[in-house]
Amino acid sequence: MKQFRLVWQSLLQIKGAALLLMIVLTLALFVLTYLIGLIRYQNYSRTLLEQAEINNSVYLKLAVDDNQMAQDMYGTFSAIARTYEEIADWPGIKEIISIYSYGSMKIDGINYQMLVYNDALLRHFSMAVDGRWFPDKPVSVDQPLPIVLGGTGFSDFETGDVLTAEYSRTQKPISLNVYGKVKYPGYTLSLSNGSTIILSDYLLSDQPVILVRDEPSLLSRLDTSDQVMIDRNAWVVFENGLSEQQQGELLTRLGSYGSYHTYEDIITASRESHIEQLKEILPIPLFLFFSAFSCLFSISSLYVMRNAQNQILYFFCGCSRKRMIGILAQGLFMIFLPPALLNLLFILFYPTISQADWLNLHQVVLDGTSVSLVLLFLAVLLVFLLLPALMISRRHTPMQLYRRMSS
Amino acid sequence: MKQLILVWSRVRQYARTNPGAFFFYLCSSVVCSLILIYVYGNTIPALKIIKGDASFYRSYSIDLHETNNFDINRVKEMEENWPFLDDLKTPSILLQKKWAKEDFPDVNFDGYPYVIPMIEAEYHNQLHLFAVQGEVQFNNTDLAAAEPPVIVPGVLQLKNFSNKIFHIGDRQYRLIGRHTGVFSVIIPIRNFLKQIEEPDFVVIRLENVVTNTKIRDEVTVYLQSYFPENFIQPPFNNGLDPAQTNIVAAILAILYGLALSSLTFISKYLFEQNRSVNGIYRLTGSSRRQLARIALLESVFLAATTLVIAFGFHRLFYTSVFAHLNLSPDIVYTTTDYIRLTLIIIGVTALLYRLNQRDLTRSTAAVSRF
Repeated sequence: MKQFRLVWQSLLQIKGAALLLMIVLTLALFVLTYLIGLIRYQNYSRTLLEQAEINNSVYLKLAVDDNQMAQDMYGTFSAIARTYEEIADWPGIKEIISIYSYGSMKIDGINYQMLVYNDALLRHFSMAVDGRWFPDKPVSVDQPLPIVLGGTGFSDFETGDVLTAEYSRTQKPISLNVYGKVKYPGYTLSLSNGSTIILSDYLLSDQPVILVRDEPSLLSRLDTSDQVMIDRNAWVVFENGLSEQQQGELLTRLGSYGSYHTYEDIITASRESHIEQLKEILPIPLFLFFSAFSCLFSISSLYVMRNAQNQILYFFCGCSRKRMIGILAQGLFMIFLPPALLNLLFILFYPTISQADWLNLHQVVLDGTSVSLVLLFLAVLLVFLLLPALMISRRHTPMQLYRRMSS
Repeated sequence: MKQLILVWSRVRQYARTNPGAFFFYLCSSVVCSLILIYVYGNTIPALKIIKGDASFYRSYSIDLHETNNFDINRVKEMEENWPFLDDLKTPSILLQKKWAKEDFPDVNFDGYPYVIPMIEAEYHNQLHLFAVQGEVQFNNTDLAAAEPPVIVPGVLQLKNFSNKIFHIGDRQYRLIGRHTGVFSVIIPIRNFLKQIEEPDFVVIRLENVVTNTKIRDEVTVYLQSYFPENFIQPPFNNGLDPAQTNIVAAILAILYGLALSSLTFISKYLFEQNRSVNGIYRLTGSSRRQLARIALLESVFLAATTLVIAFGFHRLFYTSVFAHLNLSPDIVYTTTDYIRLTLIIIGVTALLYRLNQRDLTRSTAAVSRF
């Protein structure tokens, strides 16, 4: 307590400077947190793609008659599905990864799209979940339908919950068993993007979706027709060991159905685009960091200079160098504490806040790793700031310092 | 002049009293200013580069509507004598003709949300398109085929989507692909010249955006020499909105102020050590206003010194150091940028310095003497 009062009184001598430093440091830490979150999101999107093990594949965007789609939606979707079945039978094609849907479910007045995950999707794009993915064997029809919740907005539901939903096509109630929830940040695969350039983060969605397993009893459970809705884009995975010529022929053939991007093109374009995105947003945050560092060094130098005479007296009274540095560190720590605390609380509560849809920064991943990085940053900063005081105290005796101060 | 000498002697006194702190203050101010110059360059001039290179920022459009004297040999001569190099060499030359809906009998225009596309051809058949389906380049086989090839926009709604035959007027073409654009139905140059006597536009499309207005004007003059009777629309300006530039400059000034404000705590420490000098000035008859003026001159002097050193370093080491650290290539500082930086550096420094000096100049002579 005595030591705390000692430190507090020394801080009061520079209260204006300390307040300025706290404000600047708070801003700088929030910006640092955002940048860490953005970089982690970019890496996350690329890692998901790399972990899918589809190196030998292309992202195919089918050319579809939009007129036909407007006049006969389900007919067009069926034609898309047949096209994929046809392509899947070509020699050299291992599998097609596509996402389809049989409509949506309403839970507590909110509609959620229901996506059907087949074996190919589960093999390549099953994200980490709280709980588990679907059971290996289909459950009997009179049991609730196993589902996995993806995206944000499911904060009210937990694994193991049994929900009653209303199926959009029949308006009939259907019982659902929550087997799992996609872990934070909750992104699931999306194949709806048909842009000219495809990047890894275009293939992620944080929209709340209900995932069900593709199994023979699904349609009878849902008590609906087999009118399917399917994305016009899909991953076409080639067999391993194809020669360049064979691949070239397949690509030419695929080109007649639409356009495509190879896996390598997507990864390369993603890396370049992410670097460009950082370059665009970095200058002002860099300046803010510089402002924060400048503040820190100036004010810590000021703190040391103003307390130098007191420190020397403490030496004469028997205080060790180690204790002296400890008191200085405590002072600086007290300045760091409010901004660091604000920032850490924000990071810790952000997953809950974003799940509840109160604040969603999108394309940012903030979790325990971000906390560690921010703490490491502050620790390094603290060591840096204490170094000058340590060096001065090692080079000069207390008496030499006292004489200098007095003159 | 006397006041400047006085200011100089006061600054020298600060340096003598506490050389370490003064040197630290000066170096930090210079570094602060250098960082400001660097960050400024990587925001405002870089924004111009980032703004993009959409085709309308790099295309000259020669309007042929008013004159019916199109001669392909003029285009050929213009292209052969093209004098510009580097980024401006080998532009694309597009011929465009606007036709009516009725000239596209295979297209369903009911509810079509876009403009009716133009017929377009590139002088060398070198196309730079993104595919929606099929081929988006003409190869020798396509060009030699009995039915010439055509590439249509992907959004164009055909009456029969799978049909490989496409009519333009009474001519038949073979549909080889769809591209992501909206405005152009593209055919080979040979077929364009056969079917269309008088194009509506000749478009010269450069590879990159030209930011230098002098060079842009030179290109216009060159084109005008071949098309003296025609209006030439130069590229749209991809310059920044002045309001946006000023907002970014204001943000940078605030951040610079934040960085510098911490240094003023050091300077305040320095000046406190010399407050007895102010007391002597007051005792010898100097008014508060005179003291305030001296303090302001001091701050401007220090700011100008910081400015000169920072600009000097930046220019001297730009090519060897700062250009490599830039976040975008080809960042250029114009005179306007330097003027803006000068205003920010001197303005912010003077303001902060002045705020700190306020206590000292307002103190009574009796207080200041201790």
